[in-house]
Amino acid sequence: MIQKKVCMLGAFAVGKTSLVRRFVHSMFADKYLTTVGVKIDKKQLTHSGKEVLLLLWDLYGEDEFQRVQTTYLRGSSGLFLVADGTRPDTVEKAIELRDKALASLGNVPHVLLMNKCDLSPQWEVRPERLRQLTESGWQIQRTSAKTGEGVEQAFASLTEQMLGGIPK
Amino acid sequence: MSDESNHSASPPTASASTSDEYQQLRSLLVRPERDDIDSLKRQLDERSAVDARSVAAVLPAAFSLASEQNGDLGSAMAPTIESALQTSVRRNPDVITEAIFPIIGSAITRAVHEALLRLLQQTSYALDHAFSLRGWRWRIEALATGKSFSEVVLLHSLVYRVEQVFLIHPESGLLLQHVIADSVATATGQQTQDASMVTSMLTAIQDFVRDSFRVESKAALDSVEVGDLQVWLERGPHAVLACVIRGTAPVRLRELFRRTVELCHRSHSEVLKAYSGDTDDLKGVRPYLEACLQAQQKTEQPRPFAAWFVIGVGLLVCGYFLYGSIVRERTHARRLVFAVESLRKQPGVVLLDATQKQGHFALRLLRDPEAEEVEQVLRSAGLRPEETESVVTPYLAMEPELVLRRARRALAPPDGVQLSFNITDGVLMALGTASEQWIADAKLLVRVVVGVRSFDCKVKPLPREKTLYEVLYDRARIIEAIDFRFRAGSIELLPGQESQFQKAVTELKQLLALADGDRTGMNVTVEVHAHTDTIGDELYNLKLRESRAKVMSHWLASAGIDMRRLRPVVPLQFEQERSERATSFRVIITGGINHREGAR
Repeated sequence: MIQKKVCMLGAFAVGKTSLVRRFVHSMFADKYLTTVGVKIDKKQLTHSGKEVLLLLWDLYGEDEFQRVQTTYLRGSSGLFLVADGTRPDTVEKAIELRDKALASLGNVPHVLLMNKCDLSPQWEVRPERLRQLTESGWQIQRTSAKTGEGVEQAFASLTEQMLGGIPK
Repeated sequence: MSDESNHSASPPTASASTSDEYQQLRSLLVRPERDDIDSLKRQLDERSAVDARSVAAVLPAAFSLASEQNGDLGSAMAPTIESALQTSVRRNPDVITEAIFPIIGSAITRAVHEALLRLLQQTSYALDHAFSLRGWRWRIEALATGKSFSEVVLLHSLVYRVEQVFLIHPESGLLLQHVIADSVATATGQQTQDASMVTSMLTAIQDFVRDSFRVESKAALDSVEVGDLQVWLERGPHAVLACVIRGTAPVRLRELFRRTVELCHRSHSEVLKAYSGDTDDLKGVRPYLEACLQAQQKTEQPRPFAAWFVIGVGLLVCGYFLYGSIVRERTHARRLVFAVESLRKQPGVVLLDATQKQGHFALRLLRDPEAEEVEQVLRSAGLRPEETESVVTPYLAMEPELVLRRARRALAPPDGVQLSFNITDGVLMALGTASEQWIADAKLLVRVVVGVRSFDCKVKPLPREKTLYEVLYDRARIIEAIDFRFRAGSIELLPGQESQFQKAVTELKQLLALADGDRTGMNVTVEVHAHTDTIGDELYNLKLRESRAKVMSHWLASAGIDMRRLRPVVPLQFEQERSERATSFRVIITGGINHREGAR
């Protein structure tokens, strides 16, 4: 079995925890997020016939009062950066967090999850901005915590990127 | 030309001398190096032999030195030794068997001794805790916590127990390996996969503590304590050992944990340095982690006497049941033997075989139809019918009793006849008295009795009983002897015949009653013949005869004789047998077995 640590980062209230709740196995309560600043879930999947266990570190959302504790990022093999399509500032926050994380981790695989795709008509993030990001190398996945759309694909995509470097 | 040749001859001479000098000089200058090269060349040629010799010379010392320094040599050699042992056993198991044979006996004795000691100790603990106040308190605790009673007893009896050991990747908090004590695994059913989340959270909490109190980055938690649970952490550069301990562990455990971390690093340094996330790469460290699952029990003063008492009672109960089952088995077997003996003694029964299977007896027998019923014999021997399963084949027995029974059934001798049989000459003898008919029938029937060669019938015939016909016939003769005299030319009887008439009426009534009995099939008609003398006119006489016959019939009917049975007969003169003034009777009997018309 292959184990990988994956961190989930994003601005406050972008729906990180809700996004994965239905897709992961939990043993710790949400209160850890507000107390310790992190909550750990696990996600089991199969990649190329090999069992893979993702330890998902859900880090407390960053806002003006609380900073993400970068020590939690140590040893991560991949990142999920979550943004809310209805709040353009969350995309910028995701970029900022990514830069901060890569500065300490080095270049690890990461996927930007554009959440709340069920509310597409109300999105304020312009498609041009997303296109720009894609062109600059960002991997973007549209997701919805409400419908579950795109979440499994996000796990599969990040796993693919992380295990790409492992010789078979 | 010659100059040329001289010229040409002289320089080689000079050149040769120069060359020799050069060679000498060269030899002087490089000989030592050359010798060295030659020696090295020789060594290279004999390299393998030299290597083996030199290694052999230093090997024992090297082994001692390595053993003193650390445990690496043992770890390194273990796979080779295991493989060598496997090969040896496969090739010839006798070698290893002979080698370990001298220690097998003492090893078994020791194992048995330790098992007994353990049993004694456990029984003591169970006794101590089962009925005491403390025992009841623990029972309530077990109910409240959902743990088994034995688990609660164990927890309270422990000084400490290392319940789980995690090997953790320090940076990512990923679980490298995890072992769990057997009893804990059974009690909690905890799965390794949850352990991966536990180690991640543990790492996160360490980071949290470090960040919260702004301690230096290399500083870390040594232990975490919650209630009677402690987590001891032992760090290495690429792996952290986290041991979950219940109770109060001795400090020396730290040393064991430290050595374990070192061992893990030594044996899997490359894998740990560049951990790819594949847990299979670190399976090899499990034995090291398992060695950390240590426990120590409280040394309470055991009560061997009580334990011995309980074990003794247990043995007694076992003995009682064992004895009971042996006794039952023996009784069962004895009953079969008794039944078999009884069957063997039965005349007309041949036991072919008797077996006992699945709690019941299977018998195969031959039985004469005249012999005792098999079920009856078995019941008398104490076997219930549902315990036996008999397959009986009929046959004819030649034992005298059986031949005699067969003869009795065939001949059905009356009470006055005794039958006996002599096996020697096969003679059936009959004594006593019986009807002629039985004697005649017996002589015929005896021929079909198997086993009887001849019949010696000494039965005296009984006087024959009269048949109904004969009885009727005798009575008819009495009636026919009676006649009544009339006055001349009259239908008036001569005086003094009243008693005669009464006799006639009585006889006739008896005769008719006999004949009319149930199912005799006999029919009796009484003809009343009238006679006259031959004096006078025949026509007158004829009428007189007619009158006499009718009046006699009428008188008899009046006296109670059925008129339908009376037939007045008036013969013509020439037909008269008698020429008297009288009436007489002729009784006609018809029907019945011995049908015969008329009495005379």
